[in-house]
Amino acid sequence: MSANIEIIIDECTGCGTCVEACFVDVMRWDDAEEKPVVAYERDCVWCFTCEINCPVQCINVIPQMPGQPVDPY
Amino acid sequence: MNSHVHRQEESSMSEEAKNPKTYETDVLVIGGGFGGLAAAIRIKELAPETTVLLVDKQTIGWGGKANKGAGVLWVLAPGDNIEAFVDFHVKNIGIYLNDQELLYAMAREFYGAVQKLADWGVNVMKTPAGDLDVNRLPFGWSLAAADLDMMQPLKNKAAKLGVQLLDKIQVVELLKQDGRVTGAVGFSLLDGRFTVLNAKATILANGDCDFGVMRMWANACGDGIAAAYNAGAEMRNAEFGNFYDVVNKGTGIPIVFGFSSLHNAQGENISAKYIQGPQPDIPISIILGMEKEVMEGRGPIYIDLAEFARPSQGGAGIFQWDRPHFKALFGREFAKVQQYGPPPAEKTEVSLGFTGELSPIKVDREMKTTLPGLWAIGDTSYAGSAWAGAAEAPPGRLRGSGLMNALIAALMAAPSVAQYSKETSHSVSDDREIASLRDKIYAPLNRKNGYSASEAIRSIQEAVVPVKYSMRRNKERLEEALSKVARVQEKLPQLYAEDPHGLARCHEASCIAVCAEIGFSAALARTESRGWHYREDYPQQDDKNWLKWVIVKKVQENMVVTSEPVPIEHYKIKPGQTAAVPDAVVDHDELVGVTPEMIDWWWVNMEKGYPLWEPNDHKSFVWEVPPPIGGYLGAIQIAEEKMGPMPPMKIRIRWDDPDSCPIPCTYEHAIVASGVDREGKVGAMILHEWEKSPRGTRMRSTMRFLGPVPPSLPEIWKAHDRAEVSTFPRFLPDLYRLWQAVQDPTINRQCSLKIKKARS
Repeated sequence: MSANIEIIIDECTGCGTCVEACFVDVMRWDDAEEKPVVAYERDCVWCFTCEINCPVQCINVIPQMPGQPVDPY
Repeated sequence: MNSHVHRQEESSMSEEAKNPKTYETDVLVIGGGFGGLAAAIRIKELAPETTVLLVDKQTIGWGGKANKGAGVLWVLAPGDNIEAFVDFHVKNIGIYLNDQELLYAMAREFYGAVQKLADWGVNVMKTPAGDLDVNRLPFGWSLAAADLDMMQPLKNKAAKLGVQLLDKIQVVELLKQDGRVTGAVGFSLLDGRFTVLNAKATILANGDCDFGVMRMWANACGDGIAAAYNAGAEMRNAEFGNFYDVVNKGTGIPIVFGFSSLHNAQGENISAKYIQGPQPDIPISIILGMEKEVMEGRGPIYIDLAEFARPSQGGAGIFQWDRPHFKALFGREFAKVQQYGPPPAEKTEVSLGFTGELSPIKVDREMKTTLPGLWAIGDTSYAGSAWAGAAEAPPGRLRGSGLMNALIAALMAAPSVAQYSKETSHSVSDDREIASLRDKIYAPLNRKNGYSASEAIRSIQEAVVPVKYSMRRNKERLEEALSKVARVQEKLPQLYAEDPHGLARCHEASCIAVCAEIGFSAALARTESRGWHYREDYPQQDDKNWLKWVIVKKVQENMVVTSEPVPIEHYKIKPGQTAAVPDAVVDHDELVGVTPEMIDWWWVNMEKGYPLWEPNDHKSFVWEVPPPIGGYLGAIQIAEEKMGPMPPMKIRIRWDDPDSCPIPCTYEHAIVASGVDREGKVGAMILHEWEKSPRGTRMRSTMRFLGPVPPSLPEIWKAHDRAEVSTFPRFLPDLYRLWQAVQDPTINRQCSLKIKKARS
């Protein structure tokens, strides 16, 4: 499981909600730019919480499916 | 802007970062999910002067599992019966491994606990009159619901009460002095800063172990379980940490309640084949059945989405409330699957999604672990508290019990934590111990290469995910799985990390590995089958030798497995007690215009008019074994029908001889319908009997339950049976007359069900 995360940074207001909402430490904050950065994209589990809670909807999470790492049989 | 966000750290750690940042608090709560926040709030309510520090490895108010699931909480609503609830749970889910006194104590708190949640600001679903808006289930309990933004009001409430909140701290080890837990150590994921958390009392609330398999619960790596185990705390019921759910093969997304609509590649309904009777949630038999179908070449398995989507299906209840955040989350997921998922196929293939849900920290009724100064709540101790018995943490066997368990465990722990912290003084940190822990924690950062955390986690997943290791267990395979885990553990000292994020993954890998060892070791010890623990080499439930809890504990550096008797003699519900459910008897209204011979004909020709028999509830009918020419014995039907509020079920019914039936029979004609599983085991039987009456036929139906059933089932069945039989006058005379034109006895079967022997 992983995903590609696109942020339209010009539209980002820098509110930081996406960074706070991420429960797997994928999103981090760039102090200098005062904008979010996608720091650990490989660990994204496409919960979409960052995307849903973005007030200007400038995030697009593109999930990578299928999601089963190991065959149960 | 919140203070926890910083510019991405440099790839190497400075020595300064390794100097500890020390916090001192009365109470340390590790894990800022639903349970951790509830505990912190309750302690401040009970003892406002107590200092409470709540730490989370991610962000409080967003992390944890609670806001990523269905948001339902089981309750006993007015009208639900606590005795029936406990009885059903002990006999059907916990299979006598429950701490029955704790189960009662929790059940008594359910309703009030949800009210408290509402008082704390959570958007709990209510009726316009202000009562809880519950979904009443046919199994004797109800579901309440909260919207998925529930963590935010809890976070705000905690902050308002003065709880100190600390994000992005990965706790790795517990501190101990003189056998007492005195806090914990860890590091910041942001800058790597070594963090010492000194506390009088410590609560673990950082979840169970899901082995990093299911994406939404990727964070549940058993951090607290491993820390407690390494500190010497006892584990209990760890063999019940092997949960699987039905998932969409293409997306990996769980299909909640999808277990009841499954078919194999040949189109055979395997839900009817492997599931007997109504189930509150996914039964172990369908997991084993799915694997069997695939291994025997009848895979892949498909879900009948039309059947699954019926409003009466079990899962539909979780959509009944108007919850904007719930809809936003799952609506977005659905839209993304449409956009980026696999292309639509004619049939939807499903697979088994291993979740695990290992939650074994042993706690008492105040959620105290076996280590002084340490409590464990929520999913760290769902199985370990033993109220649930032979079942794993939700989604487990009972949806809605996870949030409630976290909430009630928090409420139960809070008084004793507050009291203990009042009576205890801070201990002085042992600098040498702390320095030693620091070196151990940071060791992966000192290596430029070696063993990667992702490889370690993947290797553990290869040991826990296959059904042959985690579900269809035997000694040989469990030992094989343990040796796979041991091979990973041997390489853990070579783990390397580039930064604190990577360091956290290394520690998660170690936690996952020790959790796998704990679970497999407990499973190896339990030489019987019970609940969600199935041993192919010990397929029977063994109440003589195994009314015991398996205990796992670290002694020095060794894992020691023992057992502890369940104090069943002190409990109300004991194995071997006969089912308290009396026969359900329906004396039908006179069937005007129907002759006994028409009813004889009906039982062997049911496929000719099954939907007419009960036009609302009857869905489909096939003979698995058609009635023999001129007879009826041994015929088996798969009848799909809906009874009352329960979802449609496919029931396997065999025609049996009334002579062999223990239910006394008085009328002249009779047939026995036995509900049978694939092995021929009878779960319930119905004696239908009828004879000529002045205007047609009189008829009686008697159902005998051979095992425990949901308390509401007898009345539900009686209403269903009455509805069926009352339709005979409307359709049977016409149907019978029309079919007289067909003489071929293989098509229009003939059979007399007039019983030969006179009966008293």
